[in-house]
Amino acid sequence: MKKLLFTGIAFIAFSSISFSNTITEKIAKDELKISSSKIEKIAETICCTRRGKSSNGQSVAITACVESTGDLAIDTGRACEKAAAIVKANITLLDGWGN
Amino acid sequence: MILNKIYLITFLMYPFILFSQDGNIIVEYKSIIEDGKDIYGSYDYEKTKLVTNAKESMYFESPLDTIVAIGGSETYSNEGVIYTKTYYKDLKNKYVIYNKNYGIKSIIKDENYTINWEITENTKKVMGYQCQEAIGEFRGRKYKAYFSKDIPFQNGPHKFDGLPGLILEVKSLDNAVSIVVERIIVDDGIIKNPFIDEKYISWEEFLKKYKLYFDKISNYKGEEGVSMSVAKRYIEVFIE
Repeated sequence: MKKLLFTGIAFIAFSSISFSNTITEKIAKDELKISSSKIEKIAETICCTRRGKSSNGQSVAITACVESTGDLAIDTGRACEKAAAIVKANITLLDGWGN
Repeated sequence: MILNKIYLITFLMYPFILFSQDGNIIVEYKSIIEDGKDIYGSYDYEKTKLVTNAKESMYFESPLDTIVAIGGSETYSNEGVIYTKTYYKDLKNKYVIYNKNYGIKSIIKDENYTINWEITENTKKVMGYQCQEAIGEFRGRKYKAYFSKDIPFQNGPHKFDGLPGLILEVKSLDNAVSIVVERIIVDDGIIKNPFIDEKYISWEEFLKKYKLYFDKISNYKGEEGVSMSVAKRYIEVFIE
């Protein structure tokens, strides 16, 4: 009888530890999920569109995006600079794309 | 009394004497497109010139050096872009041939550009000329035009014509397109079709080719985070 009681107590104690571990793991996983979604939020992009015109008259719009550093003014400047450079580089090439 | 009558008749006949149907006139316009509804609209700032008589005309488009802030972080620039695009119009046989091909390497012959104008009672003065209003739909946009019967050429800028007088102003009702006269000069030059020995494609063929070109540009995968597109809408809407 004593043996049975001891086995029962041991089983209950083991189950609680195991259950508690599962909860801890679940919380840890949830935290990980939250923290990775935070990273996604931090790594948002800032985009800028520049329009130009080719010598054949077509109007072209280039949208360039850069990863945000948190400073909107600087990021916008970087994105716009990138878009403007691509407009300049592609505007003459576009003429060769038609059939 | 007789002298007064002569003066009056001369005054009333002045526009007809000045703009005789045998000679040509040169009409200079400022042509603006500001269609920023989405990235598929276009921006265009041009000075244009119509040389016309009663039978035929030439229309020239050249860019005006422009840098404009469109709103938000968008800007448009055509700095350093140089071209002159030419349209030859046969008013009797109703066709226009032109080399403004928007990247499609072809000359286009458009024989299907008739606008069904509805002339209204409204009038206004444009550059000192008494003009009458007409409203019509043309390839995706509704337009309001002002024409003057005092200048007896049934023509106008771009593909706009078919009214009983010269079109001096045409604007789209969505405010995207505006073509307004700036100067009229009497001219005695000769108008000649410059595309006489060229091969043409039709307007319908052009639309098909432009769609392929548009898809090619839109599907272009360049540097990461970069997307590129050409316009769907100019004065005429090429892709709905």
